[in-house]
Amino acid sequence: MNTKALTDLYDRLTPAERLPLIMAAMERGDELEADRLSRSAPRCELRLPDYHGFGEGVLFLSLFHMVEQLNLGLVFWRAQSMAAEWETFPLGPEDQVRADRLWDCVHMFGYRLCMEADAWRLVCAEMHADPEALLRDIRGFDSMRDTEKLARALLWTPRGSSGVPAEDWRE
Amino acid sequence: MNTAALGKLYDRLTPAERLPLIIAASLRGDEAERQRLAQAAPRTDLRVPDHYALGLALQESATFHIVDLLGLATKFWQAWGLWGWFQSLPQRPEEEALKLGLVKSCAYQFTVHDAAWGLFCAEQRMEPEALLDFMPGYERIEMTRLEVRGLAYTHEEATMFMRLHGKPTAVAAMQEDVLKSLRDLLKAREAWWNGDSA
Repeated sequence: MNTKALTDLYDRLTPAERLPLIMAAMERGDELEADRLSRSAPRCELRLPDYHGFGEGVLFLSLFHMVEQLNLGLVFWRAQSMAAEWETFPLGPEDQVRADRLWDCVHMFGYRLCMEADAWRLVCAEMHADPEALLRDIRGFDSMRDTEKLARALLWTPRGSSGVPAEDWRE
Repeated sequence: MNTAALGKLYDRLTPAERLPLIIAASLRGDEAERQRLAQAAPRTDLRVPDHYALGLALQESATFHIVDLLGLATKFWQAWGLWGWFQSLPQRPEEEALKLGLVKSCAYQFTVHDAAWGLFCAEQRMEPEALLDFMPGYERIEMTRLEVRGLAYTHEEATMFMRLHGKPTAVAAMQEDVLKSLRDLLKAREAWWNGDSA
């Protein structure tokens, strides 16, 4: 099919028409079409403060830190719930061993979660920013804080964490 | 303290010096100082395609949505873990029932947010996974999706659960409520990127 006639109309698309087409082209791996659609868009002039790029970087860093922490927190709770299930409904003696291994995983994920939280505080200290200021207004903050509190209560030393076989805690 | 002399130097700050001051001013609610710092920054000129604002707004909406889903999924697994504990204490069946209710309530909230995202993406004519499946945490979302299936309360049950546990007039959020908040977020962020709002 010759799509040249269609391509000639690309400069007339609105942003709301163009963007889904670009995303669909990228989803199917058609880089050429995505590029054609993007290049044919009319241009806008923007005037931004010079800290804009840095601000966006910090915003996305905060969001991705939150995503990572919630992700770890989810696994931390999931491992705890599985350990509790093996202990509560054991079918055989090997189930207590399974529960014990899962408790090791809980400690390991808790350790990683606290390590990430400490690293975040160091990054914020380097930026002279309050570590909670960037996260407090993001939904999920209370879950993240509650999970970190419990993880700290169970905290292992790095030496303890390295004692867990990798196959037990690999995500 | 008179800060007028300091204010005169604001145009000399580097981005890495300025941003922490803006964040600190926001945090202590000093809107005037925040504005002063932001306005004093030198400007950078950019030339971008006309879908730039919409693209960034969609990316931000997707990021906020995945944070939301992960927050809800974390609460779901936390409730599940607590339920597991109370199952091991047979003398406390009421606590166990409460924790199971919490599991089902969290499952309901997760399901509502997940379904609302699907509706939102249909409105934007895009695949629901297109902006999510490369994000960290997405595998956990998929895993939680499988677990909440069949566990979630209905809207009526979720409302009843809230009313029985300390919120006598509460109504559980529905897909339409979450969809509206996603639409509002997209609109607000697109307007912001287009320079239509402060």
